[in-house]
Amino acid sequence: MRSPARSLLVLGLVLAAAGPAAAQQPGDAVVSHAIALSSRDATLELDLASGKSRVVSLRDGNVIVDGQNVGHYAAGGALERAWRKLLADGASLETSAMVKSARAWDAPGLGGDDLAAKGRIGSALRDLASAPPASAAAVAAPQSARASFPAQPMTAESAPPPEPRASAATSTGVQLLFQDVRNIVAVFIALAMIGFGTVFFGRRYVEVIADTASNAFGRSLVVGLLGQLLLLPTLAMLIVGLIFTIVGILLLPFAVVAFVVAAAAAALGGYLAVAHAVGETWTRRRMANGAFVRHPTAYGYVFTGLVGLLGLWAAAALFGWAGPVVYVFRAAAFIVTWLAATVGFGAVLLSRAGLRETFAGRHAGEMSDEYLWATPPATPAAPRPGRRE
Amino acid sequence: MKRTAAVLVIALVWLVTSAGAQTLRTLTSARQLHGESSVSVDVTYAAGQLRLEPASPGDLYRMELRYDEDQFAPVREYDPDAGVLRLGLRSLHGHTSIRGGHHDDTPSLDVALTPDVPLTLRVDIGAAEADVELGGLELHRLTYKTGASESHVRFSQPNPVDCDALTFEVGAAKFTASDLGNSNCRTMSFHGGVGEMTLDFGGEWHTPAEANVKIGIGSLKVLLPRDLGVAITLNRFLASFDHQGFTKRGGVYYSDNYASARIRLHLDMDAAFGGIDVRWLDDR
Repeated sequence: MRSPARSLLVLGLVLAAAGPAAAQQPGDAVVSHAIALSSRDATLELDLASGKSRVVSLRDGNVIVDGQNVGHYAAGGALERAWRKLLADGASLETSAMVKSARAWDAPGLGGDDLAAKGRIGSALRDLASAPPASAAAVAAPQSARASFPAQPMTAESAPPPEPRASAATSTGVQLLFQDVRNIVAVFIALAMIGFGTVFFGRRYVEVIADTASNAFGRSLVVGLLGQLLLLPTLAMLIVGLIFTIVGILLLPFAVVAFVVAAAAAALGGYLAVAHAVGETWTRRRMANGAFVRHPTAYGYVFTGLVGLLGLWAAAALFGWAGPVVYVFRAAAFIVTWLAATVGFGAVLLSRAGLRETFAGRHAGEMSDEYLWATPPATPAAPRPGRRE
Repeated sequence: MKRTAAVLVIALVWLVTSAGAQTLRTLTSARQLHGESSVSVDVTYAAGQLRLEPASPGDLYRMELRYDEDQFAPVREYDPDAGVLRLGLRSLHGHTSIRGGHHDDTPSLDVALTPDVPLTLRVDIGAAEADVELGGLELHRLTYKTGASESHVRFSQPNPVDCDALTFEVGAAKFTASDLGNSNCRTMSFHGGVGEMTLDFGGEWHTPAEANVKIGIGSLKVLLPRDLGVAITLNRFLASFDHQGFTKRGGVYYSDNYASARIRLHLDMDAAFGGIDVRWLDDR
């Protein structure tokens, strides 16, 4: 009987000595931490040994603990300044020191909402304790040494979600829509600027390429396809050819860059010329239907054509919320873009970058002999329409 | 036409003003060791500046991340049961674009990893400027992938554990690896696409090794210590190679000290369209 009584006494003494530690919930020990600071929010995330995490965030005037809005604060006020200072100072601390610092955090001179919010933050951090880091001996401990740490599932920690999930999803959707539309507008402006510059400096060449694309569409498409297929072999032949000549090796970097730039310029110029052709066709059809167009110019054609060609991308961006339908729009937009670029590229090749009018459909029919015979020799001949003088 | 011009000007102003707006966020994270015996670490980073180095003793990792929170989300995952740690940055929209601007706005990732337990390290970076110090880490295995970037990888201190394999896959990049002898690896693999690759095999050698080097278009510079016995098997196409200091026997180039060297390195090099420059470290 004496022996069990002594054992109970010893056990009681041990428990009494370990009282404060035993009162601590083992699952609440903090094993790692993260601090995130931006102009929008200031967040402290503490990962607990139980696998959970405690996230305290000040964002847009709201105090958010584990995703729940628990209070308000004055943005830029004393509470936010003190919280941001705590987190900024804690960036260089190890986890246990950060937990101590957070628990001892004080923000004097608060009142109203700020004071109430400070109380909520304090209570969220009060019951946390840091897990003791491994000693030097334990660092190299065998696998069994890890058994004393509770199992912790994989935690994916990114920016903490401070708002309810539904509103966050809506916000993300709106942001995506906004960004997609912004990208389309940016591409449109960039292409329009390049197109206007090209028309300004080389209107005649753009018009010849556009006429070639519209007058010899099928031929341009075939030539564009072949051109695309032969681009890489041509580049390879160029490289090999230059390498085999001693002097050519020095030219290799320039030649490769020039080739790539020329190919990109041909594709882009061709695409813009197709936009010109589309715009011109549409404008002329409107005029034929009786619509009044004040000044039909090449600039207007390019602008209108780009609106048409990029319209499907815009539709895809605007209907991003409509689920799978967006893929139909995107596929159609991709095909149209590829087709325009291919035809344009072929037209550039066919017209020798706008220098040759053979396929531009600008040749008026040659006069037959009887008309030539009827024309008095002394009569000066008028220049043929579309011919260069 | 006037209306069109007005619309264009407004859109341009909107685009320019919105392009400069990015919300930079800094994330600092740390975790101490809690009895881990080995850890597998994945570091993924799309673009910006990356720095990787050994952490202070007792730390499992420390990470400082600076990023645009509208475009990216931080990755910070740890599974203590599996011993898997994932760090880095992922794109929110499936693509990566880094806006230029003030130097302070440059995204960056600083990672420090434990020097106390053996690591299986995998680094996957895109268009980043990387400065990686692996000296002092207990590196069991390394896989390093990079796209269009400039990477400097160093082993300034010897690896205290045996390393199974080093694998470097480099896209269009300038890549430098220093003191590879300190890596204590038996097998090394370097695959380069287009660019400039410098491999410095200096450092303390404790084990014989085999290194496989492949480069497409670009220059390859190999620096070797004098006391290392080196055999080079070369497969090249339109790539120059100066074999001074080597003797060719049976299709293999041997260094003059190959037979007497305590430690030997076999280099299997495959190059096309470029130059291979092999030098001794004391000739630099």
